[in-house]
Amino acid sequence: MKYLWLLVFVPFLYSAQSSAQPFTQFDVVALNQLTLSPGSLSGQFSQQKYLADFDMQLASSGEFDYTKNQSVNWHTLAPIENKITMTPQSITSVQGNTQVMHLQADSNPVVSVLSDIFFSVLTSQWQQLEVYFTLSGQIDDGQWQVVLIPKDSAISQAVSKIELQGDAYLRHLKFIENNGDYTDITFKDLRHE
Amino acid sequence: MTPTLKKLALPVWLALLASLYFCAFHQAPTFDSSIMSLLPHSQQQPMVQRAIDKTSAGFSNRMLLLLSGASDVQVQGELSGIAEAFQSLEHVTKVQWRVDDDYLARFHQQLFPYRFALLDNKSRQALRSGQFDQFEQRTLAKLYSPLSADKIDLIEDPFGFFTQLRQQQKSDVNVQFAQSFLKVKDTKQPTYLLLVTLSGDPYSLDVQKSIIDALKKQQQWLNDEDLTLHASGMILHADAGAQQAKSEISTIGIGSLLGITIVLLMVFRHVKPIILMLIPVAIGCITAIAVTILIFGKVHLITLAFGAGLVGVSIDYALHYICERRYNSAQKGLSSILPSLVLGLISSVLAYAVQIFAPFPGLQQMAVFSVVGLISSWLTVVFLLPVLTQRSSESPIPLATTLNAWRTEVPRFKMNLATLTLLLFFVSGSVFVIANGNPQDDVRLLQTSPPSLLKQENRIQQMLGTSNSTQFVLLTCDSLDMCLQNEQLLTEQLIPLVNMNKIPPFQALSEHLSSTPVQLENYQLVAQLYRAKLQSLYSKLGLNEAQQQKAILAFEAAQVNQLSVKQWQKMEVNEGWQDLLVTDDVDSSATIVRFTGYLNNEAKNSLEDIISTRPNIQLIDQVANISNVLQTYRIQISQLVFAAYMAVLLLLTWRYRMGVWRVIAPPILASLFALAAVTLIEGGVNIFHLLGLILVLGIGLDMGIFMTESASNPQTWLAVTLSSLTSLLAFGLLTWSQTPVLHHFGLTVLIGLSLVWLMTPSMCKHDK
Repeated sequence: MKYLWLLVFVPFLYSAQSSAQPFTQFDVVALNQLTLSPGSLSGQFSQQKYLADFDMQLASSGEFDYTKNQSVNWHTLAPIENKITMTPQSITSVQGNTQVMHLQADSNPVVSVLSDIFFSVLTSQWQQLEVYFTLSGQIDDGQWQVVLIPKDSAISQAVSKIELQGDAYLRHLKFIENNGDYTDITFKDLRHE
Repeated sequence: MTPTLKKLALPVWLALLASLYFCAFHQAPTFDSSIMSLLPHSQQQPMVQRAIDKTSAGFSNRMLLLLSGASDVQVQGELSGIAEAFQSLEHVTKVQWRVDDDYLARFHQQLFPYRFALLDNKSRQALRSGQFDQFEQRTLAKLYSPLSADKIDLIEDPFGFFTQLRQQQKSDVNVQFAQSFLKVKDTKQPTYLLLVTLSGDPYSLDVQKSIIDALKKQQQWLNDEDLTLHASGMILHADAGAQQAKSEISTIGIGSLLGITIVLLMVFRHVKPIILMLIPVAIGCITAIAVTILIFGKVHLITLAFGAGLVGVSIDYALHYICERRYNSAQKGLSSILPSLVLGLISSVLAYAVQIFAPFPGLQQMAVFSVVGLISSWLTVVFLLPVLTQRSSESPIPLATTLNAWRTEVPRFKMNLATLTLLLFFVSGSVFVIANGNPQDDVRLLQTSPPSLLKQENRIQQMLGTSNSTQFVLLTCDSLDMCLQNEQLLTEQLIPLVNMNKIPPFQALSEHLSSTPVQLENYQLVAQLYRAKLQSLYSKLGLNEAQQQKAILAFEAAQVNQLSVKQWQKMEVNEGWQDLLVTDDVDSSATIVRFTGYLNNEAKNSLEDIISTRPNIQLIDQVANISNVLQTYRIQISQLVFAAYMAVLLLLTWRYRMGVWRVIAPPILASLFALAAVTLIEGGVNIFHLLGLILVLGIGLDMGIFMTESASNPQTWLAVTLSSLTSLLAFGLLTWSQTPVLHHFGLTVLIGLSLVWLMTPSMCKHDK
């Protein structure tokens, strides 16, 4: 009967804060009308990861697909081959034929929150994102730019800011961290059934 | 007695009582309601006892609170108020209900230095078998992952061992952090956890009062807000037990006194004799409490409840004297009944004193309580009552004559074929029934908590996914390093069993702390990995030589970071695992492996298969232990009851020669029949039935002795009838007690005593 170990894993789970500021700066409804949220989508990505401590860029590219509310497959093809499968329940990372990582969302809430965010970003689920972030940005002639700032200090330890850019689809995203690291992803060849 | 002695006896006795009371009651008496303190401690090896104390401490000095409501926001809003309310109480050490923002940083700071020394089993095995490739792959996968969780520190920990270490620390409990509060997962309504640590003994009535009052107040106030506050912890059970014992003491005490007063008023039609009778009883009880406190430090509530029974026996002497006094003068009355009083006292004291030899601390306390109570009320009758009744007049009681007329109508027991056959039939029938019953030694005999509380407890356990199981594996070794190594070997064998669902998951100290040799070996294993893969990893990432050198330096600097047990114990993050370490002394250490679910017999068997060959590892099952203890004592008490009968038989044979059967047969036959009846009603005999028999013997013998000594005169028959009736009133109520212990006891006495009273007239020596 020990509960203190609870404090040991690194879990954050956030639920909507009613005390948070109502969404006034930015019109989610307009954004919703603008962006398509298809049942499934696939395409190519190129990713730049910047590590501030080393002043180093790690470039990778590959293909991805998702099925709404079910799974995201993130298949890195270069420079390494790696396939990440995210479902609302788990994250699995497979390299060649070996599974290098498998996490149940309930055993590692930090991962579950981040994959929830990733999921919502990819599928443009703005209402879901509002749970975690304060949204601001602009819409201009079918193009939009949105900046997400975490509502809770604990979540900003993982992501301090997210920048999104797109039209009917999300075209570009940037996760920015406190220490100056960032992950920059550009999507192309988007197709949906 | 010479006249001088006679004159001195009363003042000396009163002075003795006064000084005794002064010693015992100069501070308020303390009462104990822990059922566990009734169990013998000497039964357990000291190490096992320490382990048990350590594991149960988590349950006994913690209280879990679960607050549920319709919305997260509403529930979260009330958490701080509840925490403050409990925090302000005297007996609360701390209330944990949220994590502060620095917690993660502290966690990192405390454990990060030991990332190479403490490795999980999987990593160890992979490193040992030289599968270095997967560590490099893992790092690359993480670096190229779009998710930024599980960050890799390329200089300090390029292969991510700290992440593994952190995952090792997870638990199986269904709680996660939500807005830095502790939220229970998968509940219908949002539910949050608060953890109250108590500084006081949960069995202390003071602690109970302050905590339970606060809890009830909170529950009521939250209820008005449509929120539910559930609680779990030993203190709730202890409080329920104490409340029940208290309420039963008052119902049984009041019921018994009321019944007795009514009966006595009907007989004597005057208040004075009743007051006279109550004086010795009161002095007996108070003196018993005083002596018990002086010897044992505190009085157990069960002893006190049991002591209510003392009223039934000690009133015997007073009744006997008062009835006799109505027929004779103060002096003559006393001397005419003194032989029976002496014999009655000796036989009762003998019957109770036998319990002193039972190694149950509770029984010893009850024995002391009873013996002291009996002797002091007896002395009060002998010394004080003649003085107080100096001027009372002699006036025969009409009811005595009526009752005696009825008694003489009862058919006499004669030794002939018919009675012998009947007797043989009943005796052999009873023996058959008793022999075919299932003796009951289940720990639930000691269970005092009401079902609603047990249900709530279960619900909370289910919500949190924990168990209060008292089963664990204990490892005892010469040193802690030995324990940890043995434990590691053991857990390697247990993991397959867990995977096959043969045993529930477990928690072991070796999952959190490795022995010094293993820590050194772990570092060497990681060193091999660095030699094999660091350069390859760095070149794949395009990092330069200088950066690689930094990583090597950081690794070398970490070589001295070995986690000692002392440091481990000091770490805040290890608070939840502390009780896995029982002791770490110079030449003996012990650790435990704790299970998160209940071990059924099958699971116990597969565990025993593994540990039976290792003498330093044992499976401890406290519930099974308690049942064993109950069994041992059931058998011991049967022997003690037998010994008590034998001793009394010898004493009485010396006095009554061949006529001894008239005195001894009613209680013996009544005991036999009562046992058979109890077996039929409850399926089997348990230790508390046997304790009841000791009382039947005591009161039953009094009856036979008084009747025989007084040549069955009407006033004696009235006295023993009244005493049976008062005892039945006192014990009869125990039959309806919710406390199993008291119920079993009462039922036996109820049946046994009624039978004794019915049998005595037909067997006792007939007056001419």
